[in-house]
Amino acid sequence: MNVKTVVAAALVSSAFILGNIVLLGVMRGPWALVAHFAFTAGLFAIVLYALRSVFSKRALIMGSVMVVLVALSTVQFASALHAYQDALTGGASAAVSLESQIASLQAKNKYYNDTIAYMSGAINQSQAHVQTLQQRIEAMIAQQIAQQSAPQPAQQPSTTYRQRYERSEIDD
Amino acid sequence: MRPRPWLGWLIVAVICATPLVLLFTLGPGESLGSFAQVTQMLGEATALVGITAMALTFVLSTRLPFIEDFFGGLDKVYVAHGVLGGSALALVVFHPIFLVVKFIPSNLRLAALYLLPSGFWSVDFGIVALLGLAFLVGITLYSKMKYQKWKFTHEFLGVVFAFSIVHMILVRGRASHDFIFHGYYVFAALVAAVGLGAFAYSLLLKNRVMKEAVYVIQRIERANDTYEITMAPNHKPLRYTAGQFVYVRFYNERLSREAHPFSIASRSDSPTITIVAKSLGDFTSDLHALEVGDKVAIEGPYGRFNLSSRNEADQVWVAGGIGITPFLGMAQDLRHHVRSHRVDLYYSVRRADEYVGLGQLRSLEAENRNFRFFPWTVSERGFIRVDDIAESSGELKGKEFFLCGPPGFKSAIRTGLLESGVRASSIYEEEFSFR
Repeated sequence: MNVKTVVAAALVSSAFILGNIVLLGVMRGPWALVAHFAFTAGLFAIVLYALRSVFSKRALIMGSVMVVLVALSTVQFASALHAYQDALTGGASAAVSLESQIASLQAKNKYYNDTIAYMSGAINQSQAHVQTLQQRIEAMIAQQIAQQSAPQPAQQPSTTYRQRYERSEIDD
Repeated sequence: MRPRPWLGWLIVAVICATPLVLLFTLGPGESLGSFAQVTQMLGEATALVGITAMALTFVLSTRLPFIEDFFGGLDKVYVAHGVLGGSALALVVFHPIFLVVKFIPSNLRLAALYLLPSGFWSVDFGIVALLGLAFLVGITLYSKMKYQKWKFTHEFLGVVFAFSIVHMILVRGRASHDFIFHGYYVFAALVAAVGLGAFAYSLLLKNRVMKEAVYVIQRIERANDTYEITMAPNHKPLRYTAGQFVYVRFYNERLSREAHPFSIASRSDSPTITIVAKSLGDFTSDLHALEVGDKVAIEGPYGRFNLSSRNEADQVWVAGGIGITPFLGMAQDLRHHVRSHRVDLYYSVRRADEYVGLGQLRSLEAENRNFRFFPWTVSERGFIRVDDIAESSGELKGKEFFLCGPPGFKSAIRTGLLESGVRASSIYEEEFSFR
């Protein structure tokens, strides 16, 4: 095996791999498979042409049949790869959707929790306030009861305005 | 010094393995827990080894004399250059694959976008460098364009390497959690300095630093499509050993001014240099335009395909077609070597009218009892086999073999020799054609 053969093998195999990655990656749908089939078949046709002096006519015909089979099988592989990647993409988008739903629910849950916590705080505060008010009322009632039960001083008659006027306490 | 081609390859292997060692010793190796982390590490390892190999290919193309000793001749250096360049590309093309593979199961679109230009300069430089490297190495290995155009395109590999270096340095800053080792920038700077320095030397300085001897064409003999060109020095002659090769630049209006390698067909102490060329390529097919008196610039000599460094074992030389050229000079040298060992030369051509230097070789055989010559015409006797050689030369084990000719011819003989029990270290080959 000389350097020409090694380099040719390296060039053809790398062209096959890189060319198909680019074709199948950039193009989608049936055109990608058509381009892929044409590229693969063309590449192998070049290889067979280069080897025309090495192999017999019969071997070349067999090789051509093999080329078509290889190209078709790689088309199958490519479509399977596409399907797999589509499934992978679908799965990934479903996962993303679920994740966003979960995140939304978690956000809602947090909001409710926060609200509950806020309301609990407010209720506690109100209860404390009510308690304070109750204590004050009770204190006031107790004070009033204490005042009512104490002895009352004699009551002075109150002077009316007329009486005060008459006594000239009020200037005109 | 006896050639040690493995030494050069050992040095290349050690240098190329350096980033791997740094990655595993100074990088965060303990965090390799997931598939993505492992592929990321592989992606970075292939790129680092690849770019190191690329830097070395530029060093190998400088034609610096000391490099020859590590590989056993400039022809072997260029073979190593080609193998290393091809290996660098083979590694680098897998760099993006390893980096992107982790995205594929979950998001193919992301993987595709990762490979395309995205407006990030750090990545875009890498994409351009990778595509450029694939294109230029593809041309180098598989195209049949004219040498001039080929050489022109080959020089753009330096630009591609510069882009790779920019990518290497910028991308580190962008990657926040990767597996690169501490001291990464020091390593990147070293690779850049070595690769770009060697490239700049080859492009700008090599032709000025290399001394070329000026010769004048003294005689041209044409037989069919083969030219035997003898050149005399204008001033001081080059010192060379028969079997070596030189780069020759012909100053003729109808020929390219690019220097081309030719094996020396004359003996070591000859005041003139003789080369033999066959119309095989686009340049050699224009050689008919050459005329006696044309000025020639000769650079060299290069190569280690000669007698001086070998053991005193019996030798078998096997030449195919125009591959006889270095043996023509080496056979003449045998007259002056006081040696007890025997040399058998097998010279294979397709048709009888393709022989070069047949008369000279026959007369050398007649003069030297330790030298035997076996011409072999394929159209009459079929391809020469190792069994044919063993039949005339006897036991092959213990002998040393020198092969020069077309790659297929050499490969067949080499395989046969190895199957016959000859050790690989006893077989010396001259690379027949390298660009």
